[in-house]
Amino acid sequence: MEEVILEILGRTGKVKERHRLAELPATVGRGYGNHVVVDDPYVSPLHLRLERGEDGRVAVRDLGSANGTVLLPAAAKIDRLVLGPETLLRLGHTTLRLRDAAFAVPEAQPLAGGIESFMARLDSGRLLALVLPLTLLAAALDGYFSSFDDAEIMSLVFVLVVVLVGGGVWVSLWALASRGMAGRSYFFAHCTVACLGLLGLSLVDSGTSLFSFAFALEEAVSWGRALAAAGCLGLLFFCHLGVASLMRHRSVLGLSIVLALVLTLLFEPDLFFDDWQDPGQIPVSLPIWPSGLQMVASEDTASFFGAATELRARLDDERRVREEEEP
Amino acid sequence: MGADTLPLYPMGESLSMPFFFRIVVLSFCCGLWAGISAAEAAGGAAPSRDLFERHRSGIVQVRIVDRATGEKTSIGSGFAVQDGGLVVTNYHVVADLFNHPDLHRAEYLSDDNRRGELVLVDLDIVHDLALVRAEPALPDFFRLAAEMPGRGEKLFAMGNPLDLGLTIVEGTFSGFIQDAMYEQIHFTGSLNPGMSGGPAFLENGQVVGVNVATAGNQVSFLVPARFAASLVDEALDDGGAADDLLEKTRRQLLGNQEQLLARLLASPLAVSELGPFVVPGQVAPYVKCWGQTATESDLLYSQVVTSCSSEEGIYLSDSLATGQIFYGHTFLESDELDPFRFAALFESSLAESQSRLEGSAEEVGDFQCRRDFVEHNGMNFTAAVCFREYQRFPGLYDAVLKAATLGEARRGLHTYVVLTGVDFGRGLEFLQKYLEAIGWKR
Repeated sequence: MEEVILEILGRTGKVKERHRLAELPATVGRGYGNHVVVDDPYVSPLHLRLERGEDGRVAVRDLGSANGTVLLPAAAKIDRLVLGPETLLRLGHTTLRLRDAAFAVPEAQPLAGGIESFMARLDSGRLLALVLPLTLLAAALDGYFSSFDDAEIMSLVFVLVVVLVGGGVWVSLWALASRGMAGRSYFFAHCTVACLGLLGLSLVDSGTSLFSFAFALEEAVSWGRALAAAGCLGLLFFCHLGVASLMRHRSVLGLSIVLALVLTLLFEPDLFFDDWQDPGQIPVSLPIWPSGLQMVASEDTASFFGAATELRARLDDERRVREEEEP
Repeated sequence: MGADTLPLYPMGESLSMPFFFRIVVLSFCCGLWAGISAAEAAGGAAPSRDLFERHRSGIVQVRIVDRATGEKTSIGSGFAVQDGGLVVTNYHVVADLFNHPDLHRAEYLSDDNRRGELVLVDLDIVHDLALVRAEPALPDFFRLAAEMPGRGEKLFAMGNPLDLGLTIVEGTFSGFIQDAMYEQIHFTGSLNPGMSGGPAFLENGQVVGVNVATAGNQVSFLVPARFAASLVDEALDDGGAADDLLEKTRRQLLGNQEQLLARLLASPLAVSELGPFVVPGQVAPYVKCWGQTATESDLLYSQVVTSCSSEEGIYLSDSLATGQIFYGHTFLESDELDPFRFAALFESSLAESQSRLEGSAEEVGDFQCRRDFVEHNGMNFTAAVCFREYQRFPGLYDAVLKAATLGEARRGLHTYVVLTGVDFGRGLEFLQKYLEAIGWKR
């Protein structure tokens, strides 16, 4: 071993400082006279020494420190230890990694295209400048369309405040998570992702309502709506997690799917579990849009009520199933 | 709406009450007693005192007892007929026994401390009557009056209010309730919870009606004695117990709805005007309609709501009534809202109207619905019909129609109608007739 590389690791295992020790012996401690100064009150002023033994191998020796030198991961106190290609030590609350200068590192990873470069591109102020006003406009329109008295400005402002405050908290939490996991907050990226998610969800909402109205479809649309909302949520979590974390993309994908499914189940349980349906609830939504958007022809009353006799067959089937379950 | 402004008698204030309710009305009841004794003192002669003594051994407190705990789940009153072996009471007093016979049993307790078991013999669920067999039989019994007295004739009602002991209440026979869906006598005495199933009789001891409900103060209701009489006659003909009470009850309910719907379907529906529309109005004498116009000045639209209800129904359990009709219309109009905003208003108003019915999962199945665009009378609707079936009464359904007019950018009408406890075909027929009655004002 010609040279020793001494690294001080942070809490998450990332390297905070790196020193090349070409000349031995070298001392490590809190005192300023050491070759490597460790800024940790639990480390002794003169804590340990790296030295070359008679056989030429490099060893570490504790210099009678107050709290001792601990070998990781065995957690054993040592007085003297001959170094291997990689040695982890703990001094006080500080972790040191000692490596041979000839330590083999893997080949460079190829620059990832596709999803990773997409994630990287999300963190752009220009994109956010486009997406944020769109989202606020959509929210404002939503507030406007659901206010029916002359205080529409107030309800518009109210919706905007809710979106800005709620969205702000949401984005800040993700930015915080990013900072913890990836070391950077990627604030713009999370803002953009949150906006796109909100836009997507509101598009799914009004889109399915319009579709349900236009084609007089009920059940198929409620399923389609749940699936589209789940897809939207999944994508939202995938992007947030992808930006925020160092996880492999496969685990990010799995986690997003799970989160989206859980949320969908939580909000629309009766779609999935028959028993959760309130028997008193009349399970029909009658969305209303301007009548020019009607896409199928109207029936006359005779055929509408005539066709409704199929409900009896459906109820009979339901009864039969129930009776088979509990005779 | 109607329910807020007019005290209703059937379901909310039927006279058998769980125990905890008694404390609430206690002070009210004591005040009432003082009133009665003062009246008696002033009158001098007290026929009630003699009548009380004469009839106290023919009246019992009916107790439905929870088998697991041995404690009572509901109490009511009852009176002996036919040699003292049969007791007449209300169906709603013994409903737990009928709905969950495995969990409950029934017993009686008389004022002179006789005790015995009660066994369900027969039901007239439509008129809220039950016939039970008392074992051992009671020493005294009542006769049922064959004819009704004149209006104003004195009546005496007996029963066990609030579990406080047997009491007698004076009032008058005030004839049959006008325009009732289910025939009942108006009695001007004060009935209280616990007196359900007790007799109301003339000075000669003949029973005119069975205590069933109150609207508060001196407005009380009796089931006419002739329904009790036919129940007793039937039981004697059957030689004891009707074999399948559930099936018999199902037939009663189906028969009753057939009678009501046949009348509703026989002639065109009465209509009234609402904005530019004509809509079903008071479709039967027993239906009461109420109207309301939104008055908030900051609204960008005007809204007129009418709602109609039979206000009466047949008690099945605490969570389900049947044999009712209720419907309502909402007319919305706006000069200021754009078409999209008006559509959003119309949709939310429609979603708020009649979105659920009562009933637990063990009593009713889930709704099945069909929705489409429907055209009639030059009007275009988006409409949905929904049905659900009663679990214990196959062939009996709740039917719902919701519809909203389309085609105009700034005004619209939406409407709903609910029929509870009807045959599928008959119900559907009525829903169609209802929708077809809606049109433009000429």
